[in-house]
Amino acid sequence: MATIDELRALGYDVGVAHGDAAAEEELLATLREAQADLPAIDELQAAADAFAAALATMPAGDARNGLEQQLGEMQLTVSSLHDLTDAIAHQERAVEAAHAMPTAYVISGPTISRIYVCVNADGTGCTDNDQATLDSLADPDAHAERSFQADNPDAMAAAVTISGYGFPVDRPDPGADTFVVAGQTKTGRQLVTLAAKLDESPPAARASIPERVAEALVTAPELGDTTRVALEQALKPAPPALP
Amino acid sequence: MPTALPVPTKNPGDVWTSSTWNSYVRDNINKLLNQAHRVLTVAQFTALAGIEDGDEVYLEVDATNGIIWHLRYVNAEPTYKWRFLGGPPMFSEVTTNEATSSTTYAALTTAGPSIALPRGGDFNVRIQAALASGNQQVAMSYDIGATGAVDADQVLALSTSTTLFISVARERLKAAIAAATTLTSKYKTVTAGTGNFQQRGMSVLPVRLI
Repeated sequence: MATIDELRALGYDVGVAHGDAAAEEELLATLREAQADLPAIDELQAAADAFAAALATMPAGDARNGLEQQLGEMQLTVSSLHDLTDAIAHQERAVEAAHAMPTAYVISGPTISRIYVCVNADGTGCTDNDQATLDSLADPDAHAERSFQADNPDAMAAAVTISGYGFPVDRPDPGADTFVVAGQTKTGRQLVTLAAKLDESPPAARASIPERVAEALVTAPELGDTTRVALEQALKPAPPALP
Repeated sequence: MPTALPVPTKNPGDVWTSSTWNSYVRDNINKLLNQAHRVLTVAQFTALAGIEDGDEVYLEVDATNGIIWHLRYVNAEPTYKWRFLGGPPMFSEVTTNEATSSTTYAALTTAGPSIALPRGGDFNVRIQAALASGNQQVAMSYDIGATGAVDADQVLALSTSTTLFISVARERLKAAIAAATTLTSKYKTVTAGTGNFQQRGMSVLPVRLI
Protein backbone atom coordinates (compact mmCIF):
# COMPACT_ATOMS: atom_id res chain seq x y z
CA MET A 1 0.00 0.00 0.00
CA ALA A 2 1.82 3.09 -1.28
CA THR A 3 1.93 6.30 0.73
CA ILE A 4 2.40 9.93 -0.22
CA ASP A 5 5.95 9.83 1.20
CA GLU A 6 6.88 7.04 -1.22
CA LEU A 7 5.86 9.25 -4.12
CA ARG A 8 8.10 12.02 -2.81
CA ALA A 9 10.96 9.53 -2.61
CA LEU A 10 10.35 8.53 -6.24
CA GLY A 11 10.86 12.14 -7.28
CA TYR A 12 7.30 13.33 -7.78
CA ASP A 13 6.50 16.94 -6.98
CA VAL A 14 4.10 16.64 -4.04
CA GLY A 15 2.40 19.65 -2.47
CA VAL A 16 -0.63 20.31 -0.32
CA ALA A 17 -3.68 21.59 -2.16
CA HIS A 18 -5.91 22.12 0.87
CA GLY A 19 -6.55 20.84 4.38
CA ASP A 20 -3.05 21.31 5.82
CA ALA A 21 -3.55 21.24 9.59
CA ALA A 22 0.13 21.91 10.30
CA ALA A 23 0.00 25.17 8.32
CA GLU A 24 -3.10 26.26 10.24
CA GLU A 25 -1.38 25.52 13.55
CA GLU A 26 1.68 27.45 12.44
CA LEU A 27 -0.41 30.49 11.58
CA LEU A 28 -2.21 30.28 14.92
CA ALA A 29 1.13 30.23 16.72
CA THR A 30 2.27 33.28 14.74
CA LEU A 31 -0.89 35.18 15.64
CA ARG A 32 -0.56 34.29 19.30
CA GLU A 33 3.06 35.37 19.24
CA ALA A 34 2.09 38.68 17.68
CA GLN A 35 -0.57 39.18 20.31
CA ALA A 36 1.91 38.46 23.09
CA ASP A 37 4.18 41.24 21.82
CA LEU A 38 1.34 43.78 21.88
CA PRO A 39 0.05 45.56 24.95
CA ALA A 40 -2.87 43.94 26.76
CA ILE A 41 -6.22 45.30 25.63
CA ASP A 42 -7.38 45.96 29.18
CA GLU A 43 -4.29 47.97 30.01
CA LEU A 44 -4.45 50.01 26.83
CA GLN A 45 -8.18 50.59 27.32
CA ALA A 46 -7.58 51.76 30.89
CA ALA A 47 -4.82 54.08 29.68
CA ALA A 48 -7.09 55.48 26.98
CA ASP A 49 -9.88 56.03 29.52
CA ALA A 50 -7.50 57.84 31.90
CA PHE A 51 -6.14 59.86 29.02
CA ALA A 52 -9.66 60.85 27.99
CA ALA A 53 -10.56 61.84 31.56
CA ALA A 54 -7.45 64.02 31.84
CA LEU A 55 -8.13 65.62 28.49
CA ALA A 56 -11.64 66.54 29.58
CA THR A 57 -10.17 68.77 32.29
CA MET A 58 -7.88 70.65 29.91
CA PRO A 59 -8.84 73.96 28.41
CA ALA A 60 -9.54 74.05 24.69
CA GLY A 61 -6.60 74.98 22.49
CA ASP A 62 -3.80 73.67 20.32
CA ALA A 63 -2.26 71.57 23.07
CA ARG A 64 -5.55 69.78 23.71
CA ASN A 65 -6.18 69.27 20.00
CA GLY A 66 -2.86 67.50 19.59
CA LEU A 67 -3.53 65.25 22.57
CA GLU A 68 -7.01 64.44 21.30
CA GLN A 69 -5.42 63.16 18.09
CA GLN A 70 -3.21 60.86 20.13
CA LEU A 71 -6.25 59.67 22.08
CA GLY A 72 -7.97 58.86 18.81
CA GLU A 73 -5.02 56.74 17.74
CA MET A 74 -5.06 54.88 21.07
CA GLN A 75 -8.77 54.13 20.72
CA LEU A 76 -8.23 52.92 17.16
CA THR A 77 -5.49 50.61 18.35
CA VAL A 78 -7.73 49.21 21.09
CA SER A 79 -10.28 48.43 18.40
CA SER A 80 -7.63 46.72 16.26
CA LEU A 81 -6.49 44.63 19.20
CA HIS A 82 -10.06 43.45 19.67
CA ASP A 83 -10.07 42.47 15.99
CA LEU A 84 -6.85 40.56 16.47
CA THR A 85 -8.44 38.66 19.34
CA ASP A 86 -11.31 37.77 17.01
CA ALA A 87 -8.83 36.65 14.35
CA ILE A 88 -7.12 34.35 16.82
CA ALA A 89 -10.47 32.84 17.81
CA HIS A 90 -11.23 32.30 14.13
CA GLN A 91 -7.87 30.67 13.56
CA GLU A 92 -8.46 28.38 16.56
CA ARG A 93 -11.66 27.23 14.87
CA ALA A 94 -9.75 26.83 11.60
CA VAL A 95 -7.27 24.51 13.30
CA GLU A 96 -10.15 22.40 14.58
CA ALA A 97 -11.70 22.34 11.11
CA ALA A 98 -8.39 21.36 9.50
CA HIS A 99 -8.02 18.42 11.87
CA ALA A 100 -11.56 17.29 11.01
CA MET A 101 -10.95 17.30 7.24
CA PRO A 102 -8.64 15.16 5.11
CA THR A 103 -5.62 16.63 3.39
CA ALA A 104 -5.68 16.89 -0.38
CA TYR A 105 -2.28 16.61 -2.04
CA VAL A 106 -1.48 17.60 -5.60
CA ILE A 107 1.08 15.44 -7.40
CA SER A 108 2.99 16.14 -10.60
CA GLY A 109 5.58 14.06 -12.44
CA PRO A 110 6.45 12.61 -15.84
CA THR A 111 3.36 12.79 -18.10
CA ILE A 112 1.29 13.77 -15.05
CA SER A 113 0.13 17.28 -14.37
CA ARG A 114 -1.65 17.76 -11.07
CA ILE A 115 -3.32 14.61 -9.86
CA TYR A 116 -5.26 15.47 -6.69
CA VAL A 117 -5.46 12.78 -4.02
CA CYS A 118 -7.19 12.78 -0.63
CA VAL A 119 -4.75 11.43 1.96
CA ASN A 120 -5.14 10.28 5.57
CA ALA A 121 -2.81 11.34 8.37
CA ASP A 122 -0.75 8.15 7.89
CA GLY A 123 -0.12 9.00 4.23
CA THR A 124 -2.51 6.42 2.75
CA GLY A 125 -5.47 7.23 0.53
CA CYS A 126 -8.81 8.27 2.04
CA THR A 127 -10.78 5.97 -0.26
CA ASP A 128 -10.14 2.97 -2.47
CA ASN A 129 -9.82 5.25 -5.49
CA ASP A 130 -7.36 7.55 -3.72
CA GLN A 131 -5.27 4.56 -2.64
CA ALA A 132 -5.41 3.09 -6.15
CA THR A 133 -4.07 6.37 -7.49
CA LEU A 134 -1.18 6.32 -5.01
CA ASP A 135 -0.44 2.68 -5.86
CA SER A 136 -0.50 3.31 -9.60
CA LEU A 137 1.88 6.26 -9.29
CA ALA A 138 4.23 4.24 -7.07
CA ASP A 139 4.35 1.23 -9.40
CA PRO A 140 8.01 1.11 -10.50
CA ASP A 141 7.42 -0.24 -14.02
CA ALA A 142 4.66 2.22 -14.80
CA HIS A 143 6.73 5.07 -13.35
CA ALA A 144 9.74 4.08 -15.46
CA GLU A 145 7.60 3.88 -18.58
CA ARG A 146 6.02 7.30 -17.96
CA SER A 147 9.47 8.76 -17.42
CA PHE A 148 10.69 7.27 -20.70
CA GLN A 149 7.66 8.53 -22.59
CA ALA A 150 8.03 12.02 -21.14
CA ASP A 151 11.71 12.11 -22.14
CA ASN A 152 11.20 10.59 -25.61
CA PRO A 153 8.10 12.10 -27.20
CA ASP A 154 9.56 11.75 -30.72
CA ALA A 155 10.01 8.00 -30.31
CA MET A 156 6.50 7.60 -28.94
CA ALA A 157 5.06 9.59 -31.83
CA ALA A 158 7.06 7.42 -34.24
CA ALA A 159 5.59 4.30 -32.61
CA VAL A 160 2.09 5.59 -33.27
CA THR A 161 3.02 6.40 -36.89
CA ILE A 162 4.49 2.94 -37.47
CA SER A 163 1.50 1.22 -35.86
CA GLY A 164 -0.70 3.21 -38.19
CA TYR A 165 1.06 1.57 -41.16
CA GLY A 166 0.10 -1.86 -39.84
CA PHE A 167 3.28 -2.77 -37.92
CA PRO A 168 2.48 -3.43 -34.28
CA VAL A 169 4.96 -1.78 -31.93
CA ASP A 170 5.58 -3.38 -28.55
CA ARG A 171 7.39 -2.04 -25.49
CA PRO A 172 8.68 -5.25 -23.85
CA ASP A 173 10.72 -3.58 -21.08
CA PRO A 174 8.99 -0.66 -19.32
CA GLY A 175 11.29 2.34 -19.16
CA ALA A 176 13.93 0.86 -21.50
CA ASP A 177 14.89 2.33 -24.86
CA THR A 178 13.68 -0.81 -26.58
CA PHE A 179 10.86 -1.22 -29.09
CA VAL A 180 9.92 -4.37 -30.97
CA VAL A 181 8.55 -3.75 -34.47
CA ALA A 182 7.43 -6.76 -36.52
CA GLY A 183 9.85 -8.96 -34.60
CA GLN A 184 12.79 -6.56 -34.86
CA THR A 185 14.24 -4.83 -31.81
CA LYS A 186 14.89 -1.13 -32.27
CA THR A 187 15.84 1.91 -30.22
CA GLY A 188 13.78 5.06 -30.06
CA ARG A 189 16.12 6.85 -32.47
CA GLN A 190 15.86 3.96 -34.96
CA LEU A 191 12.10 4.10 -34.60
CA VAL A 192 12.05 7.77 -35.56
CA THR A 193 14.12 6.99 -38.66
CA LEU A 194 11.85 4.09 -39.58
CA ALA A 195 8.73 6.24 -39.22
CA ALA A 196 10.25 8.85 -41.52
CA LYS A 197 11.00 6.16 -44.15
CA LEU A 198 7.45 4.84 -43.95
CA ASP A 199 6.09 8.35 -44.36
CA GLU A 200 8.21 8.77 -47.47
CA SER A 201 7.26 5.41 -48.94
CA PRO A 202 4.06 4.04 -47.40
CA PRO A 203 3.82 0.23 -47.70
CA ALA A 204 0.09 0.38 -48.31
CA ALA A 205 0.68 1.77 -51.85
CA ARG A 206 2.86 -1.21 -52.87
CA ALA A 207 0.29 -3.74 -51.62
CA SER A 208 -2.73 -2.17 -53.23
CA ILE A 209 -2.38 -3.68 -56.74
CA PRO A 210 -2.29 -7.40 -55.79
CA GLU A 211 -5.05 -6.76 -53.29
CA ARG A 212 -7.24 -5.32 -56.01
CA VAL A 213 -6.42 -8.26 -58.40
CA ALA A 214 -7.27 -10.75 -55.69
CA GLU A 215 -10.54 -8.99 -54.95
CA ALA A 216 -11.52 -9.11 -58.62
CA LEU A 217 -10.66 -12.81 -58.97
CA VAL A 218 -12.43 -14.13 -55.93
CA THR A 219 -15.61 -12.19 -56.65
CA ALA A 220 -15.88 -13.36 -60.27
CA PRO A 221 -19.40 -14.85 -60.67
CA GLU A 222 -18.28 -17.92 -62.71
CA LEU A 223 -16.02 -19.28 -59.94
CA GLY A 224 -17.14 -22.28 -57.92
CA ASP A 225 -16.83 -22.29 -54.11
CA THR A 226 -13.84 -24.67 -54.04
CA THR A 227 -11.89 -22.61 -56.55
CA ARG A 228 -12.84 -19.43 -54.78
CA VAL A 229 -11.53 -20.65 -51.42
CA ALA A 230 -8.32 -21.88 -53.04
CA LEU A 231 -7.82 -18.55 -54.75
CA GLU A 232 -8.48 -16.65 -51.54
CA GLN A 233 -5.79 -18.64 -49.80
CA ALA A 234 -3.30 -18.30 -52.64
CA LEU A 235 -3.86 -14.60 -53.20
CA LYS A 236 -3.98 -13.58 -49.57
CA PRO A 237 -1.54 -10.67 -49.45
CA ALA A 238 1.63 -11.19 -47.50
CA PRO A 239 2.39 -8.71 -44.75
CA PRO A 240 4.30 -5.71 -46.10
CA ALA A 241 8.06 -5.77 -45.66
CA LEU A 242 9.85 -3.28 -43.53
CA PRO A 243 11.82 -0.76 -45.58
CA MET B 1 -3.59 41.92 -1.44
CA PRO B 2 -1.93 44.42 0.93
CA THR B 3 1.50 43.38 2.10
CA ALA B 4 2.37 43.66 5.76
CA LEU B 5 5.31 45.89 6.65
CA PRO B 6 8.02 43.85 8.43
CA VAL B 7 8.19 44.94 12.06
CA PRO B 8 11.67 46.07 13.19
CA THR B 9 13.30 44.42 16.16
CA LYS B 10 12.54 46.21 19.41
CA ASN B 11 15.55 46.76 21.64
CA PRO B 12 15.59 47.52 25.36
CA GLY B 13 14.94 51.18 25.94
CA ASP B 14 13.23 51.77 22.59
CA VAL B 15 10.06 53.82 22.89
CA TRP B 16 6.98 53.32 20.74
CA THR B 17 6.38 56.59 18.99
CA SER B 18 3.06 57.32 17.34
CA SER B 19 4.56 56.91 13.87
CA THR B 20 6.15 53.56 14.80
CA TRP B 21 2.90 52.41 16.33
CA ASN B 22 0.84 53.45 13.35
CA SER B 23 3.19 51.95 10.76
CA TYR B 24 4.05 48.69 12.37
CA VAL B 25 1.12 47.86 14.61
CA ARG B 26 -2.08 49.57 13.52
CA ASP B 27 -1.54 49.35 9.77
CA ASN B 28 -0.30 45.78 9.86
CA ILE B 29 -3.22 44.64 11.96
CA ASN B 30 -5.65 46.36 9.64
CA LYS B 31 -4.05 44.74 6.62
CA LEU B 32 -4.24 41.36 8.29
CA LEU B 33 -7.88 41.84 9.12
CA ASN B 34 -8.95 43.32 5.83
CA GLN B 35 -11.56 40.70 4.95
CA ALA B 36 -12.15 42.10 1.48
CA HIS B 37 -8.61 41.18 0.48
CA ARG B 38 -7.97 38.19 2.64
CA VAL B 39 -7.28 34.80 1.07
CA LEU B 40 -8.75 32.04 3.23
CA THR B 41 -7.62 28.47 3.43
CA VAL B 42 -10.36 25.85 3.24
CA ALA B 43 -10.14 25.37 7.01
CA GLN B 44 -10.42 29.12 7.65
CA PHE B 45 -13.34 29.26 5.25
CA THR B 46 -15.03 26.44 7.16
CA ALA B 47 -14.46 28.32 10.42
CA LEU B 48 -16.04 31.59 9.28
CA ALA B 49 -18.70 33.00 11.61
CA GLY B 50 -21.00 36.00 11.52
CA ILE B 51 -21.21 36.06 7.73
CA GLU B 52 -23.59 38.59 6.25
CA ASP B 53 -25.35 38.75 2.91
CA GLY B 54 -22.99 40.11 0.27
CA ASP B 55 -19.76 39.21 2.05
CA GLU B 56 -17.01 38.17 -0.33
CA VAL B 57 -13.99 35.95 0.25
CA TYR B 58 -11.10 34.49 -1.68
CA LEU B 59 -10.82 30.73 -1.11
CA GLU B 60 -7.47 29.06 -1.75
CA VAL B 61 -8.29 25.59 -3.11
CA ASP B 62 -4.79 24.67 -4.26
CA ALA B 63 -2.08 26.21 -2.14
CA THR B 64 0.69 24.62 -4.20
CA ASN B 65 -0.45 25.99 -7.54
CA GLY B 66 -2.12 29.17 -6.29
CA ILE B 67 -5.67 28.41 -7.39
CA ILE B 68 -8.03 30.83 -5.66
CA TRP B 69 -11.78 31.14 -6.07
CA HIS B 70 -13.67 34.39 -5.48
CA LEU B 71 -16.98 33.76 -3.74
CA ARG B 72 -19.94 35.89 -2.59
CA TYR B 73 -22.30 34.94 0.22
CA VAL B 74 -25.96 34.99 -0.83
CA ASN B 75 -28.26 34.49 2.11
CA ALA B 76 -31.25 33.73 -0.12
CA GLU B 77 -29.63 30.52 -1.35
CA PRO B 78 -31.19 27.61 0.56
CA THR B 79 -28.10 25.41 0.99
CA TYR B 80 -25.14 26.40 -1.16
CA LYS B 81 -24.87 30.03 -0.12
CA TRP B 82 -21.45 30.85 -1.56
CA ARG B 83 -21.79 31.75 -5.23
CA PHE B 84 -18.74 31.49 -7.43
CA LEU B 85 -17.70 34.84 -8.91
CA GLY B 86 -14.43 33.89 -10.59
CA GLY B 87 -11.12 32.11 -10.63
CA PRO B 88 -9.30 29.36 -12.52
CA PRO B 89 -10.46 25.73 -12.49
CA MET B 90 -8.82 22.94 -10.58
CA PHE B 91 -7.21 20.90 -13.36
CA SER B 92 -5.71 17.43 -13.50
CA GLU B 93 -4.04 15.76 -16.47
CA VAL B 94 -2.36 12.48 -17.46
CA THR B 95 -0.89 12.54 -20.96
CA THR B 96 0.58 9.03 -21.31
CA ASN B 97 -1.10 6.61 -23.72
CA GLU B 98 -2.63 3.62 -21.91
CA ALA B 99 -5.20 0.98 -22.83
CA THR B 100 -7.98 -1.10 -21.37
CA SER B 101 -10.11 -3.97 -22.61
CA SER B 102 -12.53 -3.74 -19.68
CA THR B 103 -16.18 -3.47 -20.66
CA THR B 104 -16.98 -1.87 -17.30
CA TYR B 105 -15.48 1.39 -16.04
CA ALA B 106 -11.99 0.81 -14.66
CA ALA B 107 -8.78 2.68 -13.97
CA LEU B 108 -5.90 2.59 -16.43
CA THR B 109 -2.32 1.73 -15.46
CA THR B 110 -1.89 5.35 -14.39
CA ALA B 111 -5.02 6.15 -12.42
CA GLY B 112 -6.75 9.47 -12.88
CA PRO B 113 -6.92 12.30 -13.67
CA SER B 114 -8.57 12.99 -10.33
CA ILE B 115 -9.60 16.02 -8.30
CA ALA B 116 -10.24 16.14 -4.54
CA LEU B 117 -12.94 18.78 -4.04
CA PRO B 118 -12.34 21.27 -1.23
CA ARG B 119 -16.01 21.83 -0.30
CA GLY B 120 -19.44 20.45 -1.06
CA GLY B 121 -21.56 22.14 -3.70
CA ASP B 122 -22.59 22.29 -7.33
CA PHE B 123 -19.76 21.99 -9.84
CA ASN B 124 -19.19 22.12 -13.57
CA VAL B 125 -17.06 19.05 -14.28
CA ARG B 126 -15.26 18.79 -17.60
CA ILE B 127 -13.45 15.70 -18.88
CA GLN B 128 -11.42 15.38 -22.04
CA ALA B 129 -9.22 12.79 -23.74
CA ALA B 130 -7.89 11.53 -27.03
CA LEU B 131 -9.53 8.14 -27.58
CA ALA B 132 -8.73 5.36 -30.04
CA SER B 133 -10.16 1.91 -30.60
CA GLY B 134 -10.31 -1.03 -32.96
CA ASN B 135 -13.60 -0.04 -34.56
CA GLN B 136 -15.67 -0.14 -31.37
CA GLN B 137 -16.91 2.58 -29.03
CA VAL B 138 -14.76 3.49 -26.04
CA ALA B 139 -15.72 5.77 -23.16
CA MET B 140 -14.34 7.85 -20.32
CA SER B 141 -16.38 8.86 -17.28
CA TYR B 142 -15.65 9.42 -13.59
CA ASP B 143 -16.42 8.10 -10.12
CA ILE B 144 -17.89 10.65 -7.73
CA GLY B 145 -16.49 9.51 -4.40
CA ALA B 146 -17.74 6.00 -3.83
CA THR B 147 -20.38 6.31 -6.56
CA GLY B 148 -19.21 4.51 -9.66
CA ALA B 149 -18.84 6.15 -13.05
CA VAL B 150 -21.97 6.23 -15.22
CA ASP B 151 -22.59 6.51 -18.94
CA ALA B 152 -24.58 9.71 -18.40
CA ASP B 153 -21.33 11.52 -17.62
CA GLN B 154 -19.21 9.92 -20.33
CA VAL B 155 -17.34 11.10 -23.36
CA LEU B 156 -17.60 8.56 -26.15
CA ALA B 157 -15.74 7.94 -29.40
CA LEU B 158 -15.19 5.30 -32.05
CA SER B 159 -12.11 5.13 -34.24
CA THR B 160 -11.06 2.51 -36.76
CA SER B 161 -7.62 1.93 -35.31
CA THR B 162 -5.99 1.96 -31.89
CA THR B 163 -3.54 4.49 -33.32
CA LEU B 164 -6.19 6.81 -34.76
CA PHE B 165 -7.00 9.15 -31.86
CA ILE B 166 -10.05 11.35 -31.65
CA SER B 167 -10.10 14.20 -29.12
CA VAL B 168 -13.36 14.61 -27.24
CA ALA B 169 -14.49 16.74 -24.29
CA ARG B 170 -17.66 17.30 -22.33
CA GLU B 171 -18.78 19.48 -19.44
CA ARG B 172 -21.67 18.67 -17.10
CA LEU B 173 -23.23 20.34 -14.10
CA LYS B 174 -23.01 17.96 -11.15
CA ALA B 175 -25.20 19.14 -8.32
CA ALA B 176 -24.94 18.55 -4.59
CA ILE B 177 -21.58 16.84 -4.40
CA ALA B 178 -20.56 16.25 -0.80
CA ALA B 179 -17.48 17.78 0.79
CA ALA B 180 -14.18 15.89 0.69
CA THR B 181 -15.21 13.98 -2.43
CA THR B 182 -12.64 12.88 -4.99
CA LEU B 183 -13.63 12.71 -8.66
CA THR B 184 -11.65 9.90 -10.34
CA SER B 185 -11.63 9.21 -14.07
CA LYS B 186 -12.53 5.71 -15.30
CA TYR B 187 -12.48 4.08 -18.74
CA LYS B 188 -14.05 1.23 -20.70
CA THR B 189 -14.62 -0.22 -24.11
CA VAL B 190 -18.35 -0.44 -24.85
CA THR B 191 -18.05 -3.72 -26.75
CA ALA B 192 -15.19 -6.23 -26.79
CA GLY B 193 -11.90 -4.80 -27.94
CA THR B 194 -9.16 -2.49 -26.81
CA GLY B 195 -9.51 1.18 -26.04
CA ASN B 196 -6.52 3.52 -25.95
CA PHE B 197 -6.61 6.80 -24.06
CA GLN B 198 -4.11 9.64 -23.92
CA GLN B 199 -4.05 13.35 -23.06
CA ARG B 200 -6.64 12.68 -20.38
CA GLY B 201 -7.84 15.74 -18.51
CA MET B 202 -10.36 16.77 -15.87
CA SER B 203 -11.21 20.27 -14.68
CA VAL B 204 -13.67 21.52 -12.08
CA LEU B 205 -15.21 24.93 -11.48
CA PRO B 206 -17.74 25.56 -8.74
CA VAL B 207 -21.16 27.08 -9.28
CA ARG B 208 -22.13 27.31 -5.61
CA LEU B 209 -20.46 26.05 -2.47
CA ILE B 210 -21.73 25.26 0.98
